[in-house]
Amino acid sequence: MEEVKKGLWGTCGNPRRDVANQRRVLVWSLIWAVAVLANAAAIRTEWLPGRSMELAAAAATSLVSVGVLWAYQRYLRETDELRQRIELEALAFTVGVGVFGGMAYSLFHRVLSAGEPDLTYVTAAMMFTYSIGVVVGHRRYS
Amino acid sequence: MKNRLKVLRAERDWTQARLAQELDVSRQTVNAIETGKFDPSLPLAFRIAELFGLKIEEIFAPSR
Repeated sequence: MEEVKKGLWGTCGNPRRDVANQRRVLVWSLIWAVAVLANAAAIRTEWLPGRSMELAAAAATSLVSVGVLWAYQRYLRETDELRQRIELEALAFTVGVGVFGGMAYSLFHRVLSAGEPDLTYVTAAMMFTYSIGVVVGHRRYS
Repeated sequence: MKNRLKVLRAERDWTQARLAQELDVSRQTVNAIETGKFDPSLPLAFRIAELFGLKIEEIFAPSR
């Protein structure tokens, strides 16, 4: 388990490049999470004056998400091949849950209730699945 | 695939971390190769062979 923890946190004899890239992904992800939460709170409380400001805030959050993608792609491209394998397996699992789980959820939701399905649940399930996939991958190859 | 990585590393009295540094991979990768949980790509296998001054087939062999 210690091996898994060290592997996840990039302190287990990892190339400096990987550690730097992991930190970059973490920082961008945190900024994105804060931006999404702030955006949602601002819309809910009608804190921003006018629809144009709300649109600008949503656009800014979307730009941050491009930063997350850029950082993650760079990490994937530059990390060593075992990490690439672990990420690939976790992402495959995540896509499976996102596409098939998301569609199943959508169908059941339409059958069982009148409203439109909430995409937030699918996104949360995908993020959870990805995290589990990475942990399982690190355990498998440790 | 079987390999002699652990033996070759031990002959040089290198740690996994040292070998990982030489190969520019994580220590986890070296450990996974040594324990047979992960087969390296051809470029990495060539780097390993070059590092130890051997041919690939002198380090790696198919497990039958």
